[in-house]
Amino acid sequence: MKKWKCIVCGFIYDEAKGLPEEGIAPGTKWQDVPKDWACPDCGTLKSDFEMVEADG
Amino acid sequence: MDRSDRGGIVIVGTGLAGYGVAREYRKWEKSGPLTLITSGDGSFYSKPMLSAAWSAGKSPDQLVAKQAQAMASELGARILTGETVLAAGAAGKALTLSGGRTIPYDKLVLAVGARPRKLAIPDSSGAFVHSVNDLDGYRELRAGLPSGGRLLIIGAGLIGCEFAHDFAVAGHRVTLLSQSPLPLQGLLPPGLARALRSALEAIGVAFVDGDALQSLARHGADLQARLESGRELEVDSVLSAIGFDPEIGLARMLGLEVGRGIAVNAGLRTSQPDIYAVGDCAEMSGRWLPFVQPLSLAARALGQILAGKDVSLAFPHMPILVKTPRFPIAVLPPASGAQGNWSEDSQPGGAKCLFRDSDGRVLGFAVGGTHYPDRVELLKSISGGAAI
Repeated sequence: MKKWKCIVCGFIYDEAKGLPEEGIAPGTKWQDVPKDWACPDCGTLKSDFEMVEADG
Repeated sequence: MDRSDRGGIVIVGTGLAGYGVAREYRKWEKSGPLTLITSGDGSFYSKPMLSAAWSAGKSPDQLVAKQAQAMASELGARILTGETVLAAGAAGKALTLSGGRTIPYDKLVLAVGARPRKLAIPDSSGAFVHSVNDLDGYRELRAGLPSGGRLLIIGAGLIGCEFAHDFAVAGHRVTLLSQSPLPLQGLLPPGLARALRSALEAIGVAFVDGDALQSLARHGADLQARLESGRELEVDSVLSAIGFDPEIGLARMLGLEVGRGIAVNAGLRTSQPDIYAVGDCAEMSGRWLPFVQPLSLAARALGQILAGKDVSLAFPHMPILVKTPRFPIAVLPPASGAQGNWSEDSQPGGAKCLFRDSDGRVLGFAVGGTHYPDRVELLKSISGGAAI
């Protein structure tokens, strides 16, 4: 499971946790997050996220 | 002119728009000269987070993601800092900088942002007023406000409300001064504006409405704010958030067509070939959208256009997010001229307003608090054109 970070605001998408309140189930891989999904905090596009090292 | 000045792509501005274009361009074009020019220090930081940094526990320095040097090497670009453009001749395709250099370009990108409006108060009072348009302005605001201090914010728009929220959460005593009793007037339907006001009041923000600032004077350690009604407030610091306007000075120098912002077409091109504009300084087909999502989409399109691709930008439905985490809001205003009515559904902790046409189709929405996550489904249904 990996984490992805918004390069604009720092919001972290954690594959393990998903975003259940937005209909993205826990365990949803980054590539399965819809292409038109945008950062819930600042509206940045999915393509402007970068992978961050897993915390272990 | 030294030999490294070979033209290529020159971008004026190193905010989200300028760096965004540079990054997207490099995805498609790995080599080729790329120059960025900024009057600041060129550090890349999260501007949308300025108004939410306190609640996120971040100091101004922690908002800086990368210094100019790191950006230059990451982008394979030359970054000229502390430089303003003094002269520009579109025919000559070169910029003259304050440091004396002349920078030729093949393609020029204006990503110069917007500037805060000035309060109509005497200059002697204006000296006490902060406005936040960049990280430096934000640093000054925080440095001038003691812990738990009293902050007067003028204007209850997006910036005013977000800063009021953030500074109140951080333990400051915030007064929000505006003409209208309802925050975000013109953007939010009344039902949601009332809910936002209650949420801000619940974290200690005091609203003063139907009034305006007349003057400021220093009394010892205090600033005394005199309002038009005659009322006086003692505060430690004053933040003006009465709106901002696209930066069009350089565009005028270049003889470009300007509306509210620098006019660009769906290919981000201005009225002159080889000159483009993107971000808060630009208006596309008459629409000025100073928000992150349209900026990201425009930067991505322009990066491809500069790399020689034929791209025409069309915006999807883009909700505006209000960063007030204790009561987050998403609003998708109906298209201008759309016929319909707002409905209102609010409970303690949440509010949801829908704009429906006579057939019951939802054309716009505003959701806040516990209803904030509803934006995802609402957006899907609107984009799909389904009735709900």
